[in-house]
Amino acid sequence: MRRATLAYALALAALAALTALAFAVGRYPVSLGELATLLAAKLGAAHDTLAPNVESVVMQVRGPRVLAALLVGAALAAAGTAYQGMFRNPLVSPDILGVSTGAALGAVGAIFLSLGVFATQLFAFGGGLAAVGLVYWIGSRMRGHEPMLALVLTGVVIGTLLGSAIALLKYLADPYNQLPAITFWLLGSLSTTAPQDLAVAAPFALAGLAPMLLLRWRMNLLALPDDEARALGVDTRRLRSVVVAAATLMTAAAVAVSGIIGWVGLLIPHAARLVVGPDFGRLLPLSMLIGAAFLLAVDTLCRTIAPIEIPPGVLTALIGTPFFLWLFALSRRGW
Amino acid sequence: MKLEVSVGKRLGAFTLEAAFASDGGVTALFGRSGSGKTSVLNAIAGLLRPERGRIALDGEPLFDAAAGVDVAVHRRRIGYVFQEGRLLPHITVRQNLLYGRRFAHGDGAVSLEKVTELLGLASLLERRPHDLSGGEKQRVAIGRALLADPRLLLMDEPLAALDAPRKSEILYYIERLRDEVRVPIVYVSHSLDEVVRIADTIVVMSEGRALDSGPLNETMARMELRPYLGRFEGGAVIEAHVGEQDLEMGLARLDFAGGALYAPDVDALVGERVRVRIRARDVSLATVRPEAISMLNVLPGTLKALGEGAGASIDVQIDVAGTLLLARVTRKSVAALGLAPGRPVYALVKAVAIDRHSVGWA
Repeated sequence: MRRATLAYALALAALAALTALAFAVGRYPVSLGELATLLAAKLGAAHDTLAPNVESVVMQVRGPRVLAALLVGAALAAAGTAYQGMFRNPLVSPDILGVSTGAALGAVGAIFLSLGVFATQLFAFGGGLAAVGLVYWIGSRMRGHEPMLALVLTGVVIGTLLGSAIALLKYLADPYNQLPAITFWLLGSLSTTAPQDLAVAAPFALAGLAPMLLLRWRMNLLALPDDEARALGVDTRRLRSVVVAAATLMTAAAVAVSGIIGWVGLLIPHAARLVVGPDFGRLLPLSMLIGAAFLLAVDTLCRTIAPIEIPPGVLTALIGTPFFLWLFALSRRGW
Repeated sequence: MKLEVSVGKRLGAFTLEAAFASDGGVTALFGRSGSGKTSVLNAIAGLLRPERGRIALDGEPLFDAAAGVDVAVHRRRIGYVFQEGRLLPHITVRQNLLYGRRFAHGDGAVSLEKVTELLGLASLLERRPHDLSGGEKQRVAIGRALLADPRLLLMDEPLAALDAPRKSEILYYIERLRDEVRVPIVYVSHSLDEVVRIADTIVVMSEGRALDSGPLNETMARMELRPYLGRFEGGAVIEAHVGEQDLEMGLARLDFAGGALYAPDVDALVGERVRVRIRARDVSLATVRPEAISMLNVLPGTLKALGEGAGASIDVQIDVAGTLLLARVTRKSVAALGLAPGRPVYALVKAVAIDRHSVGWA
């Protein structure tokens, strides 16, 4: 228990420090003193004595972007935690049932049809939900198979199908306008996040989070064989469908804001589990804290380490791959 | 408690066709591996949906193909203890036990304290599953199932993964459940030792069919079931009470309707009721009362029935003042002694043949 408390405290401290850092660094540096003054002014405790461009950099440029990184990071990590618990497999990510591929197809389709930014986000969100709905519908009709296995295999197959649809659209897209936009979206980015994007995405993410928090006790029982959990009085089929729906809602909302940013949902829950163990009630908050901090750090690096912005999906993969392999080699115990 | 089961279903190579009823206590589903015992158990639990038939608990249908009733697993309030109880690894025994309570639909008649006392879990409560032996894990799994306040407890070979000392330890606890909590239990086993110790009712299964069912001692003495009740281990089960404990000689006198039986190392007090299995192969027959032999148990009776069969040995049923015993003797002896139904005989049982596996609390 003390270990868990310490982990929460450290994660919170890191998150706070990273948030301050993210507001401070960039093409227009803002000092920590200026940040403190601005915060105090916003809270009504002091008069605003800062140059107006400081306030606009912090509030209009960096604010939405920082919030988006926190939201997307936490949502992807939460969805990954739920999926890893449900599939009893630490190698599972939120994408396993095709939510990202579905969202990607939706977004790519919208870009291909030149429908504009809001439609792209809407199509991404809808595409993610539709893909998982299709996978779940087909997978649950595969009788005579282990239900989780049927679901995963259907997810893989449908994901491949959607992937080739994306490839086709890329092939057909206008190489000067649409293709760069498609590539840009597929690699993910938080640079274009507007405040209203967050206002739309956040409620969906929270709607997905609520059932996970309420069902945390039952989630633990999914570590038992299905028969045993059912005999203990848990309707595992309904529990699974609720978890899939909640995780999908969170992921789709996140992806609609940021595009596809891989690795967060796979890596973060895995790392958090090494610290606090598999108890879902303890794991979920820590996973979200680390996920938010991780993506914020990644996004801050993306916009500062090079003259041009690096897509965060590239950086998460660069960091994620060795880190994941190291974690995997480190962890001997199974579920 | 009244459990009525009548189920039918095609399952791959064989057809499950089982019907029996039980009035509580421990009902054993006995048969070889692959005889369909676990399928019946899963049908009662709701994990396997039969094609036809009816399953009812105290008159309330859990499944009724004709009426279209199929109560969901998690609503049946039936506890299930699996072969190898899986506990949640990251939490303590106490928390694991409380997981049973958390999703209970009943009013929680059994308290954590009671379950802890009953199953001897007090010293384990703060430990984690990976520190427990197989037998301890199984006791926790039983406790967890009990705390869910089940109307019926199903056990699928709960001792299969344990070694002999652990087996007898768990059997002791299951006997306590039977006698103290009075939760009805359906117990699947292919071990006659276990069945004889704890069952009140036995259902004999073979190739997907329930051949017969009834009170343990009546059914065990049935001639026609002999091929299915284990020719080697099988035999009659009698109920007796401890009449005397001769501590110096280490012998107990067990009084039953047909007389007295001496057995060594009976772990029960004078006056306690026990059940004793007397293996058919441990019973010899004589037509005159033998003199000067070491066998302590010489029980006069009447030969009731002769079994059939072309092998070297056959089964003989003997009526000892109303209690039925089974003996397995050679056909050569049957011919030499002129054994036939109605003939007065003496059933001879070596006291040392009645080992501790053959005696349990009644």
